[in-house]
Amino acid sequence: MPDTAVPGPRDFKTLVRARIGGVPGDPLREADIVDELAQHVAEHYAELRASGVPEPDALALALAPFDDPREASRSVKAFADRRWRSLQSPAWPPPSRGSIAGALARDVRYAVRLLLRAPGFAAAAIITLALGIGANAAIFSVVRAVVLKPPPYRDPSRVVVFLNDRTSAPGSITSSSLPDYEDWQRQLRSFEGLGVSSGWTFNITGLDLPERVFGARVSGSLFPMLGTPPLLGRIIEPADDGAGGEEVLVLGYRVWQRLFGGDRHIVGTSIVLEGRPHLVIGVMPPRFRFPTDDTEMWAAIKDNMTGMPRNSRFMVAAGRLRPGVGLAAAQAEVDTLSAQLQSAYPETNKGWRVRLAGVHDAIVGDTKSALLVLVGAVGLVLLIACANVSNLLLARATSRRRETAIRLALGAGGGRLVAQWLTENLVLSLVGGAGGVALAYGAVQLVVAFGPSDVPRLDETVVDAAVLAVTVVIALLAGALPALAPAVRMLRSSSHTALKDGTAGYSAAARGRGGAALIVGEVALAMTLAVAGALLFKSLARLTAVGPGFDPARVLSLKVFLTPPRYRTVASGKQYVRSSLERIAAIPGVESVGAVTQLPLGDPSSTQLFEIEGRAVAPADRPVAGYRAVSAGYFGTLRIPLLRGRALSEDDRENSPLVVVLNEASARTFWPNEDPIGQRIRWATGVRPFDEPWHTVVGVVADVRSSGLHKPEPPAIYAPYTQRLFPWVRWNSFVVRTHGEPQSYARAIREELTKVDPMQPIYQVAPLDTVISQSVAARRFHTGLVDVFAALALALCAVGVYGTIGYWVAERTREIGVRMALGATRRTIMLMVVARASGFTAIGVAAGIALSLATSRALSSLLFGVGSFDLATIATVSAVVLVTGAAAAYLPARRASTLDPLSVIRGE
Amino acid sequence: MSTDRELRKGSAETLILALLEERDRHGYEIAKLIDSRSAGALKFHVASLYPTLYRLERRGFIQGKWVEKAGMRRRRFYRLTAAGQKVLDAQRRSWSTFFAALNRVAGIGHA
Repeated sequence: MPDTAVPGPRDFKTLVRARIGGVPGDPLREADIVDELAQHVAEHYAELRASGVPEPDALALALAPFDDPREASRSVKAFADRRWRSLQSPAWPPPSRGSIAGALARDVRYAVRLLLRAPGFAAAAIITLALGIGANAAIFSVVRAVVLKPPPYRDPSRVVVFLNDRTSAPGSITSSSLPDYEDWQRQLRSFEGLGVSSGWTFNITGLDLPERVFGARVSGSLFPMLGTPPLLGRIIEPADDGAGGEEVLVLGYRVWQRLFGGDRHIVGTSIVLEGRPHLVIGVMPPRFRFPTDDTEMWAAIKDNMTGMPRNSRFMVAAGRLRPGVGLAAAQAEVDTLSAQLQSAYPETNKGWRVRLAGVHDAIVGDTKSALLVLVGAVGLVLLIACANVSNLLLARATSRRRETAIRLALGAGGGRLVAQWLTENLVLSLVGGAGGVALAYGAVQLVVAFGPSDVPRLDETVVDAAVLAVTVVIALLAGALPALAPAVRMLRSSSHTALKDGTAGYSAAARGRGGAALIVGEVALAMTLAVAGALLFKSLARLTAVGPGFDPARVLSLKVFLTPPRYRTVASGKQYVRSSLERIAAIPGVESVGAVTQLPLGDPSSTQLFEIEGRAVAPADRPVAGYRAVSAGYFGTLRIPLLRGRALSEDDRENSPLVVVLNEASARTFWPNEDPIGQRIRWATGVRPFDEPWHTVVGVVADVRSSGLHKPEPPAIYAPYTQRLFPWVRWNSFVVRTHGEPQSYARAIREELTKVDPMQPIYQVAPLDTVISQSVAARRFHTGLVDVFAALALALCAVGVYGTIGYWVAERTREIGVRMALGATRRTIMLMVVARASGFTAIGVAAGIALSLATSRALSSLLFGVGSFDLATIATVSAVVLVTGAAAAYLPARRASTLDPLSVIRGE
Repeated sequence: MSTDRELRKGSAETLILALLEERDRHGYEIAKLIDSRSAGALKFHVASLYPTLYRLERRGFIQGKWVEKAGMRRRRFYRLTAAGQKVLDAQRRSWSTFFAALNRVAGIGHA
């Protein structure tokens, strides 16, 4: 550097800046600091030069303080000290003049600058809001997909489903029979069109491996009635359903993707179903479902149902109301027709009621109440988050009361100040909302990936425009609500007191009261949620502790569905089962094997009317029981205990006397005061050959939980599959007890079954343990979510208690100092603070118990084995909440107890 | 140890306030005056002088202002506020009490 080049002030700035690096915080403030340090260096330099120090030495000496990197960083750290950043507030926004938009823009800018200056506060508020809003956005996405979004039918509100109920046992059967449907279609005038479908399992045999797809056979009128345009090709039309003619097939989106790789040229090609070619005529869009969530392809009914008796109710009938016809009017017409049918066909129709229901309700079903509980739970989380933010704002309002007082004194309108406060909080909540959307997006991916498969349409959950819109509304509310209380309070009080004095004023008392109220509210809400979570958790524990009534350990289950044309006759189906049982039993390591038409917890039940010998009853009052055809080895394989008489044996053959075995529920229900062994029954299917012969009851076995761990076993009758098997019972499960890990036998069993029939698909190969845990998957999912929310609520609540008590301690520093100076021990001080916090928490817990009782009704349908007012649960949760509150108060209490009394009293 | 640090910090702040009681001064001048008046015993590093000044300003004891005069460097001058004056008076009282006590107990006098 040449001697003549004297650095100017600007150069010193560069030199200083290069040495201290960046000063965290506001760039304006940083410029100020650098400016002042540069001034210092320049003065020193000028002085050294004036006293004759040569240029390079003077420069080096002046800059020396910044040469030591440790000193330089200390200097930067000192500047970065958070406490002094609030030194200078940005200039107040000018009083409102001109457009509202202009004022808003100024307020937003001012709010952003203020928040940047208080990063701790902003981060706490934003994270709290993001958690609350995110949880709500995620659950709203789920609820929207599962409950709110209408199915993609044309004008879906006019589509109704026909539900059949026995008046004596409401809710027992919900499907319709084909003859009833045909009468409805001919005679009902309230409907523009009717359609019917029947669940059907298709075995696809033209692919590399035989595949089994669950689908439906539908009347030609069904698709035109629903009115969903196909994604590709065309829908099934009345002409496709006529006798003869080509078999046509419409694919669901998922099966189209899974089996055919989304091939757009699939339309017009043939697929081999049951060994017969079916022409693919169309592909439905992704969201199309009918009648159930898992229906993946549709074929026409054609002659597959011909001759179905009127009491075979397993078809889903639906109709489209004519414009202007309400549900009530249609129901009235259906009631009239039902009465006519009852008198025309008393044997099959007496005692039945037909109810119309919106198609949406019918599909969503009982998932609704669980989801509504979830909505309530996240709502509570959001309220708690809002309370926390409100608390933060109150604390901040205290530190800003001077600013407000001055601005009010200078003539700023109260409305203007509130508007600006709101703007600040809306900026917070919108940033929190953005974070919430990100959280929700992640959460939804998790829900779709890990959620239970039996919640309908769960996989349709997406964070879309509607979810975003609702999130924005939630965020705006979450921004406005917490801000109102502190804003109003500040306006009311600050002008009188804050100007007079920097420390006293409204804050201690009013803020204390506000904070306490918020804490009590927060604790009450968290308590409610925690009680709900604990009750659901207890229900799940009780439920999984319920014995299924059989021993699932080391048992592998697998299913086949025996369909025409290869298994058109009952004899061919029996032959398949017999050969399969023999081959599986011969596999090394297999202990025993059995077959059953209804796998416990894995299959829908099939019920059958019957008559008891010697009891004359009207046809409508005939008893009904579950019908299960089993092999002789079934009870032994599942270790279902025999209670009376004998189990079925290999000696019960086609031509030996017809026998049945009852479950305990049957024995109890139909022979309450007598021994059922030796009694005789006969079926009342409506199909003569099956209804004639009598069957002798030879044994009673224990109940198994066949239709859900939470449901008591209904009466059921077991018949040997070797005897009179109903031809419409086509499904069959094998259960295989093994000596080792059951899944490891899957391959060998498959190979043996392939030898019996290489074209027969085998599906749902799973250990029974897994089948049982799958049966509670949805409940586990809901319970897990509620428990996560309860934990979140407790955590937010703890933060709230911590903040409020911390503030309370800070306000009372002087009082605490005096107490200590007067001889209070640290222990006493800690106890005082913790007792204060526990007082708030205890009031909150009491309010929470009351709130739990008020909301328990909503929960009761989801509970199992535990009442909605469970003292043990409430006591445990209360203890947890109280301990949480005390723990949250511990840090502030410790801080209070370690105060130095002298410096406190002497200090400012 | 902490008392010592408190004492030094407190004394530095009192010194600054006392220097500003006489008239408004800028940072470099304050550093030089502390150096010369304490005969080098208290030496302020740049790294602690300016943060101390900001701390005092935050508490409202002093007020800083950039001043530009024709032909002169732009400097940030600090002025003692009324609150600062009160604190300085209180500090003076407690210091004299403190030194009087020290004097009585240990015979340490202060000039």
